[in-house]
Amino acid sequence: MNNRIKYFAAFLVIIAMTGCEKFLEEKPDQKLATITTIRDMQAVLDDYATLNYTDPAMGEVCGDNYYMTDVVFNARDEYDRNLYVWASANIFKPQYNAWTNIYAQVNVANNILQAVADNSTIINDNDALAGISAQAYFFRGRAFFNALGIWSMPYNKATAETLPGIPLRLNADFNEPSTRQSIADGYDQALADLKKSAQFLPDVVPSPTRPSKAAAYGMLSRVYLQMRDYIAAGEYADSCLRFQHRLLDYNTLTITVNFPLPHLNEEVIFESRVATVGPIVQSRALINPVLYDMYHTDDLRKLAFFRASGTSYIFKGSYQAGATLFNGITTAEMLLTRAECKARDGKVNEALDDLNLLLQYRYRTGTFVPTLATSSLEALEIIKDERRKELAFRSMRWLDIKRYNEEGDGITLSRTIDGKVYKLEPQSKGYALPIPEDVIALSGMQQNER
Amino acid sequence: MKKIFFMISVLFTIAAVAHSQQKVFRVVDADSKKGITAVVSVGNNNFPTDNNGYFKLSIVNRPVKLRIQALNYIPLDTLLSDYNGSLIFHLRPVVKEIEEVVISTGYQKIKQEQLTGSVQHIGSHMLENQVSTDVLSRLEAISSGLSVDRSTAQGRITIRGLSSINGPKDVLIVVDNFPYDGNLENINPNDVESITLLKDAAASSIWGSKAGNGVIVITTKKGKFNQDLQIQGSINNNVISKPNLYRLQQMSSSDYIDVESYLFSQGYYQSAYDDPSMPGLTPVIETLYNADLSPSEKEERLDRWRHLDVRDEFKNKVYGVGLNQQYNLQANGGNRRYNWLATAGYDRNRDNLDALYARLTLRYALEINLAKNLSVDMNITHANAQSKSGKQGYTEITALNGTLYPYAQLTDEDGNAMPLVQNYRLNYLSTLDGRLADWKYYPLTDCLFNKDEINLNNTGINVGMNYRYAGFDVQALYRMERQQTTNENIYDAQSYFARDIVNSFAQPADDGSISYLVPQGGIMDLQNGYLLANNLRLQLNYDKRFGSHHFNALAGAERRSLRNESNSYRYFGLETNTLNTGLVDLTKRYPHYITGSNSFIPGRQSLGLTRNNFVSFYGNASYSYRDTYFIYASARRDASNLFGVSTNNKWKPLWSLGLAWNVDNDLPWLKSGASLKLRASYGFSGNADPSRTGLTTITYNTVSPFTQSNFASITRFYNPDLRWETVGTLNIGVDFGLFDRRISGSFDYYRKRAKDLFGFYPIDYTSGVGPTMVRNIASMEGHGIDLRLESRNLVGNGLQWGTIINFSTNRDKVTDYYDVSTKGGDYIGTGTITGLVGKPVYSVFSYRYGGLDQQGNPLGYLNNDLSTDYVELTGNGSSLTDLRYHGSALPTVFGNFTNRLSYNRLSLEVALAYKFGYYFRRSSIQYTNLVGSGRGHSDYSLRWQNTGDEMHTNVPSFQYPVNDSRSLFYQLSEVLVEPADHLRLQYVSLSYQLENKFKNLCIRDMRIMLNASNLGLLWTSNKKDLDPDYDNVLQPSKAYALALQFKF
Repeated sequence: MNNRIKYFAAFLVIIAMTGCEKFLEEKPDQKLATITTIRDMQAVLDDYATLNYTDPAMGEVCGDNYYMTDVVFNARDEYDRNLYVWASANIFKPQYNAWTNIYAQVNVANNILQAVADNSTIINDNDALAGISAQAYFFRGRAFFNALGIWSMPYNKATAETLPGIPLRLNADFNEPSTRQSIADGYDQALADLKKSAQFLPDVVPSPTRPSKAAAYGMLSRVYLQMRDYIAAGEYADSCLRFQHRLLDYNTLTITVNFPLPHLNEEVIFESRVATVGPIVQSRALINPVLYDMYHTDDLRKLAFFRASGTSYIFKGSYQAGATLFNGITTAEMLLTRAECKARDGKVNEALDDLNLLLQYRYRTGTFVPTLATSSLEALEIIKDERRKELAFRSMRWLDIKRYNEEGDGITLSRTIDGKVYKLEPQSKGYALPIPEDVIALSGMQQNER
Repeated sequence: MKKIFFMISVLFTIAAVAHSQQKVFRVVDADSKKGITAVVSVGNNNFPTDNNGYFKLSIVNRPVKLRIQALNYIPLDTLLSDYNGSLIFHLRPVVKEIEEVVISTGYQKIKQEQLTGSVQHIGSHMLENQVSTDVLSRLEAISSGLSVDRSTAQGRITIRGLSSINGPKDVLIVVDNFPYDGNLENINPNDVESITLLKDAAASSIWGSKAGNGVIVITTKKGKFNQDLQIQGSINNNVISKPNLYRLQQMSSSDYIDVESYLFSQGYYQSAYDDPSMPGLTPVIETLYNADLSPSEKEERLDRWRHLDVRDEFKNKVYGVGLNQQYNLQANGGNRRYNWLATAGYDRNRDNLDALYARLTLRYALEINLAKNLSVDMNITHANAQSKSGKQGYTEITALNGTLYPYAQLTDEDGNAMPLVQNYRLNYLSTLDGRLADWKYYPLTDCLFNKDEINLNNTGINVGMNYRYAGFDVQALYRMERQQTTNENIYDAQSYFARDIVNSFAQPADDGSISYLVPQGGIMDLQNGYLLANNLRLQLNYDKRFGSHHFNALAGAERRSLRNESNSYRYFGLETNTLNTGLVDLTKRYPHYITGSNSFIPGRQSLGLTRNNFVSFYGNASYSYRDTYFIYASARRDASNLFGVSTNNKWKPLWSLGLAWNVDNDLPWLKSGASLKLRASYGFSGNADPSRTGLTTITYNTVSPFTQSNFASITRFYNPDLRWETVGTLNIGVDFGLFDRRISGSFDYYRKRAKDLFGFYPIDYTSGVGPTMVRNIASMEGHGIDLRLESRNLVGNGLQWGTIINFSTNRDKVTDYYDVSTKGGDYIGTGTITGLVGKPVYSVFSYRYGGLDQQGNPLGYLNNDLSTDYVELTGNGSSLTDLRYHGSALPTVFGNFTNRLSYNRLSLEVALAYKFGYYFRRSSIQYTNLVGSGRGHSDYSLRWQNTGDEMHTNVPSFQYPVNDSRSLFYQLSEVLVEPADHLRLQYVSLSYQLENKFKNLCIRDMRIMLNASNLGLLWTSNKKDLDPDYDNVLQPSKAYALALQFKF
């Protein structure tokens, strides 16, 4: 009897353990994976919802291209109202805000870099891995640059080493505490990441949602421009345009329709858009008449970008072909950057050549008269106006104002609500927005001064 | 009454009885020797006894076969061979038989007296007085230590409160030895023989890692050996009345129109009105903007609407009376070698909104003794359930922002369906008529064009083999379960859903013609789900007595796999007559007809596959001496294919230990009419949440429309420190019986300590992983008692009265929390855990309320000073000490109370359920919601309006622009917290037993029952007469059932 039982017990164990390891190794969900192959890594980098479509809108919200009427302002929630008037606190909703979105992009990039390091020996395809890392560096550098624009004071060589910048998270460990590094550290890191990416990004990509070499040069140009290193900014804009220089002739568009600018058109070098926030929702953000009046009647952008709403105008010119705002890199932006840099370098004619090249695609056929200027200063003023007109609602205006004020332009922003005037003076500490209060509470980081 | 029965009985029998040798006999209770009322059958003739058990019988031929039956007694069959003077028949009460309850834990069947753990056994007779389609909903009214948490939409069963804070909280449901994987609605309640609740560790730890929240073991009916063919059936019809919509705290139309007019005057709607995407506006706003109307015309129109209440139309034109029908037929039989049982059940439910649910269940159980020590059993079940959507109800029909304005009209004066505003302005949509298909939404008739049908087939096969040899018992069990679900959601071409998508993607050309990128026609969403579960268990049992020593043990291994496949697809341009479908391009963005904004056509294609595999080893052993002292131990190890977890962490050992002492065996004086048993147990169970993984994991999404390749998002982040949750439970219990078991019951005290509980820990989201992260962050402790008392208050011949009381307490508190905040606002949210050491896991805190000031502003306290700084009050200003603590958000005392009164064959059962010792936050007017999304509340009429109102109201004044913090402060203030104690009338059921009355119809036995359920509250401690389980949501409607149960 005992033998039978022993046999049974042995049988039982054998049956239960047969293939046990394999059985327990099966994936619980076929859609799950760890990041181990090139395909996995590319799939994560193609997560456009996280990496391309949640950029910060503050560059537009805090700028002067639009206004809200008193009644519309009063109908907004407290955060939106605070944001609109550059309040010193509570302008970001807790937990889910621009900070969350930017650092989620940083984290994805860091996880990819970690996965590349972990799997490099197994994958054994250095070219492919370099291409993957390059994309991750691109997204990380870009995210740091976007964060610096919002939460740190404008870049100034004299103060960049001392003023607080942003936390620079360079690995995926969420337990690591956040500390703010200097503004200089921040820009250096953004440049380093983007330069690393430029080296290994491909010349041609299947979709502008993926970064290309041109996109990396375009981002480098943006960063140097913000640092007011106009030589480098101009050179990178030039490098970018070498890869892609096609322009969209606005004469080919049906500009009267609701959203006339085609999505992913030939000017788009890198595709991204902002996460919309209350004040810049299409129907609320009325166009600043100063901006509207800047467009010549023959400038097709006047009709393509704006439509009447009551006695005012609203914006319809997003390259997203919808109400969400495009903030990606275009050939037109690069031309304007190159033009500005040349003008600042005293190369008036070259600067105006770039400008006129662009504008002939913007004016009604047969009406365009090339712009002329006698001095580099005059050229610069024209180019700055054209920059504002071309890049309206690209979430760039406020960054340009920050930069211009560093150049001494002395632009004071102001809003009037129910008769009360709110001002943002040049050199104001309000140019570094308050970091979300809950981030400060949880990390113990230093808040921006007021 | 009794006399009537007596007379009828006599009439039935009188003709057949010959009067030769009349003798006097008596039927008595075997224990008390008192006479009882009984019926004596001789062949086909029945003779009733009198109240004292005496009856006379004329004996013609000997021997005579007698069958003596009495209510609540075991029938006695005897051979009357000779007559020697007065003869007394002793009947044994049935209750004595029920005491020998055999408990099924899913792994073994043991007698209740041998148990060391805390269990509750619920026999089928306890379930029969309720009529619901599913079985689990019947438990709340009759079980002990079980409560239903209605803060979730479905209502979640908890046994003995919480064992986990953020981990899985579901109770494990076991049907016939194995966890049930299909929908629990597939189980026909008439198939259920018994339900066992396993409450403490000694009882449940054999189920391992999934048993941390308790186990409910359902055993289905089986045939019996040596039993003649039996057929029984039941029919019940349950009428469900219309719901009471007027308990909903809806804002009055007049108030609502006033608010809209005011906001209009403030320009609130201006940006929406100017918006070129034509967002919807309510009729009041459209009217106010309408330049064609004179001010007096506008006023006149608004005044007309002030008298409307949309609930009137819902009541008269939408809701109806529902009917649930249930039919069941069962046959069983058996001889020495085999037994069988077959059932067929059919349910057809039509609810208040005409939604249909039809279920057919078939079951066949067979048990065969192949040889002296070898038996095989099998059980095959099949369930088919079909459901079909009905009309849209009060919460489903919404206009803007998911809300419905109270003056909405579903029909015009002539009864034609009226359009209700949705995404776009109605008068703008009217201008499109003729160019496009009608773009308006008609809520009353839209349901005619939407068909949501679900067809579910579930098949289960259990096969078991049992070989016995000298105390050993080898068992092999296998269960296969397959469930196939098809969900067909057809939106006809006339449905709003289809018209909306078709019109949205209509592309106008310059010549005025229109091309349709989504072809005109209907849309169909098809979803298929397929579930396959395989369970294999090999088990060795040993049971042996050596004199006074009794040894029992089992050991086994189990392998279980669960595979879920799913797919879904959306067809466009569906022509239902011909089944033609059209093609669309999902890869490009197209401009919207109205807004011009570009978007993708909303396709819906996906495939899914999940697999859950488990391997377990388990065993238990018990030893008893003289059937008086018991010791029990169990151990189990589980492993599963958790993703991204190293092998060592996959295995989790769990164990338990139990002791019991049958005191009455040692103290003989107790034996006479009393019993006493003491129990104690301790053990561990655990929780592993499969979604919490240790490695950074990505989930593949669909194809990116940009790169045309799959893209993936990171869904879990490297989290190496995560451990299993463990729950240690100590249980001390007493089972007792007194006064000949007139009073019996059990008392259990338990203490649970749970540690390493998962929690969402707020982290600095600069880390990029989002604002919270799951960590082992807390420990909690729970303790409570379960008291179950059954008493037979009145016994005897006529009137009988029995009472069952279940009384439970459960208090939990956080003993350790990785506490990060002293900010008051972090503890006050609704429905979130409190995480404050020493306080219940779900606590109700509120802001202290200083009433209203003279401008109608609510006053809070900052450092004990009155304040109206709402940003500070709701933000960083209030610290924990500024808050008022009310108590637990979950009931701390709960249970039920059932009385059964019977008089002969008539019985009345009344079941009450109660919950005490907790608090809830009632709904009120929230100005943020009122302005932001148009959600009103009747408390608006109580708001502060004029100086002096602050003396008699706590509802703040309406202010615009809305101060969100002020609105939030009021919402979370102490004036909206109410005690939730209440007493609910669960059901009332009246039944009448007819026996041997329908011989001609072949019906042996029949029971008629009337049942009323969802009867509402009897008492509640809050002054506002609010139902804490259903505050400002629709209560389940009262239902009345007529049921017939019969045996052939």
